[in-house]
Amino acid sequence: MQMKLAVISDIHANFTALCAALRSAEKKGAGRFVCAGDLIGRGPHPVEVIRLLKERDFPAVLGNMESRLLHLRGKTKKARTRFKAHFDWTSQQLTDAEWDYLASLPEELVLNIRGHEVLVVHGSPVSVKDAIYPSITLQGLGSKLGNRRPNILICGHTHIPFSKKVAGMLVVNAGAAGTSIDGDPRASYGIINFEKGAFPRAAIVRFEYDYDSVMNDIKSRKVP
Amino acid sequence: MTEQRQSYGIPKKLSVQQVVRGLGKMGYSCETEGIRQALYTYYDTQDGKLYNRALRLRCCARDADSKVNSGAAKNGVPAQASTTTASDHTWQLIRDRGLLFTQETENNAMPEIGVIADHIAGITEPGTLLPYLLARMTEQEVSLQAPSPVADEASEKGVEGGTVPSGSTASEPAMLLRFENWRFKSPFRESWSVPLMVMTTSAGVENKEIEYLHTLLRDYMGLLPVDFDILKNGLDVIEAALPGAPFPSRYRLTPRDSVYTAIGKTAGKQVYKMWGNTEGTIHDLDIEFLHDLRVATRRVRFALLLFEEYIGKTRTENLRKELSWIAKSLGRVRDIDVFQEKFSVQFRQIGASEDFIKRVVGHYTGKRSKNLETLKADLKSGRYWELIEALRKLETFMMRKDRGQNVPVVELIPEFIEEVLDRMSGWLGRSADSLSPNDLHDLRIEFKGLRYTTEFFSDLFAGDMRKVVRGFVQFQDCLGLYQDAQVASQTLRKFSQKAMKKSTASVDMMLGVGGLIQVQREIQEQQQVRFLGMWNEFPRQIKELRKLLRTGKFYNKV
Repeated sequence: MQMKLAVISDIHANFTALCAALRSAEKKGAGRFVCAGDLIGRGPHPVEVIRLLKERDFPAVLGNMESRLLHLRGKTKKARTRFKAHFDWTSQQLTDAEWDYLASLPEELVLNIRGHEVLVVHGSPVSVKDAIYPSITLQGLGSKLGNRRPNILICGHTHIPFSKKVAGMLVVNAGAAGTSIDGDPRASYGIINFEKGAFPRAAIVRFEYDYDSVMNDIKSRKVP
Repeated sequence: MTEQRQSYGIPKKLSVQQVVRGLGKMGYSCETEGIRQALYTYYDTQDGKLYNRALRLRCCARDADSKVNSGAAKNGVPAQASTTTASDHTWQLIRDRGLLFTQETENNAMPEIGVIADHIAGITEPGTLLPYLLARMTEQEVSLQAPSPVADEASEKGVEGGTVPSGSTASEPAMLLRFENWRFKSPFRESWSVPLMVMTTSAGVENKEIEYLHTLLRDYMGLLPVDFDILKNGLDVIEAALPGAPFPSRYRLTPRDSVYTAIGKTAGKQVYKMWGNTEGTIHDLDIEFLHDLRVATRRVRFALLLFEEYIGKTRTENLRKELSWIAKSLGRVRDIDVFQEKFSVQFRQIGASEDFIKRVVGHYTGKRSKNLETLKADLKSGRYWELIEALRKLETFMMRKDRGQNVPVVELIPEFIEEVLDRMSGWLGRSADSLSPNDLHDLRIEFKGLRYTTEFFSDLFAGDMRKVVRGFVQFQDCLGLYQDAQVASQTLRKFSQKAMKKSTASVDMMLGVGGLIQVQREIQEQQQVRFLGMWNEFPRQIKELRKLLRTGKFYNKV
């Protein structure tokens, strides 16, 4: 019997897109979810996104946005002006509950799904800011992983979705559920299909969401 | 802080429990506060004076608030509720969903004195108010607690050296969900509509939690905000027209409309008016319903003739024939309404005796009742509703013909108007004193044609054009009064002839009839003089109109 894992990354506080991704994934039969970082930053719905991920108990990793934002926790107004305006705005929306959640996010997750080792990171195993592009080679991957050889490597950060097999390892970049930058205006997430007796297969799913609602919220909430 | 409210339509497949459970899954805790029931009756005048001013007048009969029996419900599982049965009738005047005034009366009596009556007396008299909609509501209130408190201003303030404790002293957000189950009914029909569920969120303070809740409802639960107006939505559900039957905005002409679209919209407008005034006419709520229905019937009949080339000869003939049938039936009642209105003033002029007034009023009232019964049967008949349906199909038919047709109607308007002016050209050479009463009757029909033709396109007209068109209305009004007086004379003669035949004519009666006929003669003379004075101006007005049409300055280009 098969099991589908939905990979959502780079939500960037876009709750509208996140809900659309979840609906799409659930329609495709996804039974488990994982988030590869950058939950917040730039978008108008940081609190809503964090609450949803928390209440639905989705495993998630720290992204560079969260990493940067956590430096603002408890900072004075004067200190916050040294950061970009959208970080300042986001920091003012969060309560202790949301801060604590972000602070609890690990830089990487190792999951065991149907006997396969799944490594989840935001940028790469090197750091949250490092990037894995579709052109990655075996050598390039080797230098980022060191001695580790997971069956599946999940990453995000670049907003460029792809999935490819590199020397027996499945690499999946889910792209961005919040903001697309690859020329296709639709957002994306990944679906990994775990079937008994077969190596997992991945697909990138593109989806549309109510863009106008998000733009209206950005304006009404005065997001910089 | 003012209350923030937002309404959401709840689809039929979703229950209150499902919504509350969904919120529970997102970390919200919910507590059922109570259940209320209310019955509202909405009132307005025949022409929608209150509605046009964004006012809503309603009488509310409400059961006392009910409270949950034992223990508040938690997270979507309500405890059993009970109701008490004390009722009161409260009149409420509302503007933009804000309560302006409230007033209690006994036994649902219309407020004759007091703040509501005084306020609306500037707009209309309480006696002219008609019931439009009954709305029954059952409301369940649920208070909502957010998953985590919102950051307050304490976290904004800094201390020297850097960090301060972040947002930890927020007050509890006060949010309410009201689940309202509505059913609607026309005051003149038997059955209630299917239920319509609306959920309203409100927060007593301006806080971010209500924003988060709205995002959650919209994106996570798929509930879209709606602009819920009980009167508007209720009338829409029961398929009844708004007070005054205002044209829907889809019928407004734009400069980009092709001639087919313009014809579809023109016909659609008048059919809408016919439909909107039918129920009021059937129940004889106000004589103006019948008047508006008759005017709409005449206008659409004229429009068919004007646009025959585009509609098709056979279709035009058939529809005009049916419209003629209902127009005659309407006319037999409307004419009497006009007499009764005018006679009520003219009785005083001639110093008529009570006995005479009673006889005349009795005669016309009886005749009206008889004609009204025939009219009611006609308006309830399959034949009438097939006519309405055929006219509605005409609107669709014209829109379909629009495909690929790009000539804007503004390029053809001068042609339509010139066609009517050409028909009148034969009259222009005639001097005022050469016009006989029959000529005036024929001219009245021509002026009506000119008025209708120009009014069909009035959405597009610029200020100067509107002024010229208004000038033509005066001709028709003047000739209309002349005609009414002529018909009134004829009917009074028939009345007296009938009485003489039955040997029920008295001296008092004959003197009264003679007096009234004399009044009609005076009216005709007055209107004739007035018309002849205006007639000399008519060629100049035509010149002005033609100049506007020729230069294209008759319409607003935007």
